[in-house]
Amino acid sequence: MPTTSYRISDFLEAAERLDVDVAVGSDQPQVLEQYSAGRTVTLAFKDGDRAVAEIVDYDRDYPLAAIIGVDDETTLIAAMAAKALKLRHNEPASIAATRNKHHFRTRLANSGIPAPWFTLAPVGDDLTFDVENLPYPVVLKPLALSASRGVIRADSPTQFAAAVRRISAILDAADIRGEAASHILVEEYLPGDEVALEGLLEDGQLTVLALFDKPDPLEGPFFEETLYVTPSRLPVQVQNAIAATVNSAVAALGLRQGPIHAELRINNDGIWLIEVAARSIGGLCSRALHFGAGGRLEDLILRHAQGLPAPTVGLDCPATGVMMIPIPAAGVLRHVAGIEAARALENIDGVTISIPIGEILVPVPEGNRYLGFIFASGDTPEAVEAALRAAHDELEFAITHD
Amino acid sequence: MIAMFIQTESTPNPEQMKFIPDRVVLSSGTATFPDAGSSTRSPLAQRLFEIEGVTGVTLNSDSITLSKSADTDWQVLKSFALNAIMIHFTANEPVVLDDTNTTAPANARNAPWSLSRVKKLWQHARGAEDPVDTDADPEVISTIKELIETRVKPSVIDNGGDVEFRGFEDGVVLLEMTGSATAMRTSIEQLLRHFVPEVTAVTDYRDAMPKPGLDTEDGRAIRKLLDERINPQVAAHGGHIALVDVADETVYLRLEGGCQGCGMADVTLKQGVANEIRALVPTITNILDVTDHAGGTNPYYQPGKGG
Repeated sequence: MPTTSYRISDFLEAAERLDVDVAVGSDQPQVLEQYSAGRTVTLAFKDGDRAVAEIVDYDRDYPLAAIIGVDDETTLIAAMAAKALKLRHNEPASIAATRNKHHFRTRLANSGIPAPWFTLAPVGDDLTFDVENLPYPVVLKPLALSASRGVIRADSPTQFAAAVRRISAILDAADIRGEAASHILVEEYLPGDEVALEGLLEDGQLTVLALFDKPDPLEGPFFEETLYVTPSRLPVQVQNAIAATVNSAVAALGLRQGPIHAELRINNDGIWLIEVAARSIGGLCSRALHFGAGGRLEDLILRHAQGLPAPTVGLDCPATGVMMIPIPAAGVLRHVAGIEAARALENIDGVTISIPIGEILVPVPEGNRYLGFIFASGDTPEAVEAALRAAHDELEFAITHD
Repeated sequence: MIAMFIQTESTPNPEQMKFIPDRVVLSSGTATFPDAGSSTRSPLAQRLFEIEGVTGVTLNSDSITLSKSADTDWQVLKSFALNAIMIHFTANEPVVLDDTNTTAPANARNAPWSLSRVKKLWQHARGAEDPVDTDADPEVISTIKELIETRVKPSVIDNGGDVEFRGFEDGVVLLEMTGSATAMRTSIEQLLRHFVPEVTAVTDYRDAMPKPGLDTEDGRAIRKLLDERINPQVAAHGGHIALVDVADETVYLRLEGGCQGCGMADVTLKQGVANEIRALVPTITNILDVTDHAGGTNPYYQPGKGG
């Protein structure tokens, strides 16, 4: 887990519930590492081979039964280390394909899965790249950043050039190296509704844990995630087709084990995969998912890592959802009001502000943090969506431009 | 959802700074208040004069210009001014009162704040809620309460917390501190000691409650562990772990400073502190974190979407 992970507490709490002994591998030394008796270990996330060697060394003193890469940054290291230790996991090559958006698009296109037009574009000035004749509107995507960071829509060559400059600065700030620092993916913009599928793979068999609608339109120029509501209100046959598309994609990628998070667009031309990641849903969004006796999403992931079967129970309430609170503008967060009023609303389960007062807010596409999360559950997706929007309306953010 | 934005702009006069909110300040004209006494018709100016170091306020249609004393630093004053302006506008309080109404509204603050004014207010407050320490001077207690309401509480709320007066015993002010208040304890103590010499310390009332568990063999051993082994390490991240109580098989801890709200706080607690405590006192089965992590103002590690 990176020290910047949102997921640390949820995984450690799941481990406690299941009485599983876990060690946290992270990129920075833990303050009490010397007293942790092997429960924490520092790993060189920026150097995958070295991190794998460190895990192998660690395994000599503290034998590992499974390795889970919690966030995007760690999925490949987890797969490589698992392979080195002969533990059940996905092939590193499969994970690597999900970590590079161009490799991902190429792999799927070669497998016959519907894909938008795409190409690789240089980040710097390259007069040989023909920006005039791209099939506008297009979407520019960094090859290796998470969520919506650096993703920009361009409707013209002028907007394209501006977007490239902006992404170049984002890549510099994020200390991205290699091909991902010099190139970006450019793909045809796909209109339509967007959904997210949360699933668990067991020896290549996909169990759909939740299919989220994203009721807020994501049309650009930036693509900030906001509302996730499940169950989906799409027709059942469309939901089945979405699951089938994801199933085909994970097979094409060679993914066989563990959590997956897929994002798709649906329009009159069909179902289009935006991305598949070999990890579970990001941020604190997993807190919207409760599987009754099966526990939380993290419980399922830990149980799968132990070789236990996925639960047969579904979500334990008729509808649930989460809002990733958007950052309204750049500046310094000075005050948040209305939290208690939002919490008091019917169907609201929780409101969490995840950026401290006094911190700098950076909106997308540069930003990489969520302002907070609102959780709701209810009898219908409509009620959940309405509650999330009402709770958001209660919040007031005072932001200064110092 | 409402968001407010305020730009700041330097002026040729280094003792003046312009604050430009994203909304109308005065519908027309200019209003200049050279001192607090002249600002009774402007609740906003009154609020700004409450800030130590503010010597003048000028209101325009789109900006507020503050003058400060030479010995005050803008770095400090600016933050207070931004907060005051934001609170004023987000509360929809008037910038100026109608010309015909020269009296401040009931909820407007009286300005400037002074110890003498607090003492005057205390005259009206006599007979109100009794202090915990019946030997304490009621005037002192009233002064402390007034300071908490007028100076401490607004600042704590601005920083995402809250504070309530709970008592005064043997020079120690007992507060109920939530959220950021815990992290601001030292500055609250400094303020109260500055204005009320009788105050020697500030603590959360829950910490001051009798806790027999802390005086047991286990309690003392755990405190020693925290003091001698854990906290010297945690201090490297600007943090501190306080032993709140030991009861039966449970230890209650509060994470403070850089640990409060830290993304890795659970790793520190569950993978580090818990190991040490259980190794030292095997009868302990539960180690509970009673920290209000949402109130952390300076967490060492903060979450992001990552690579």
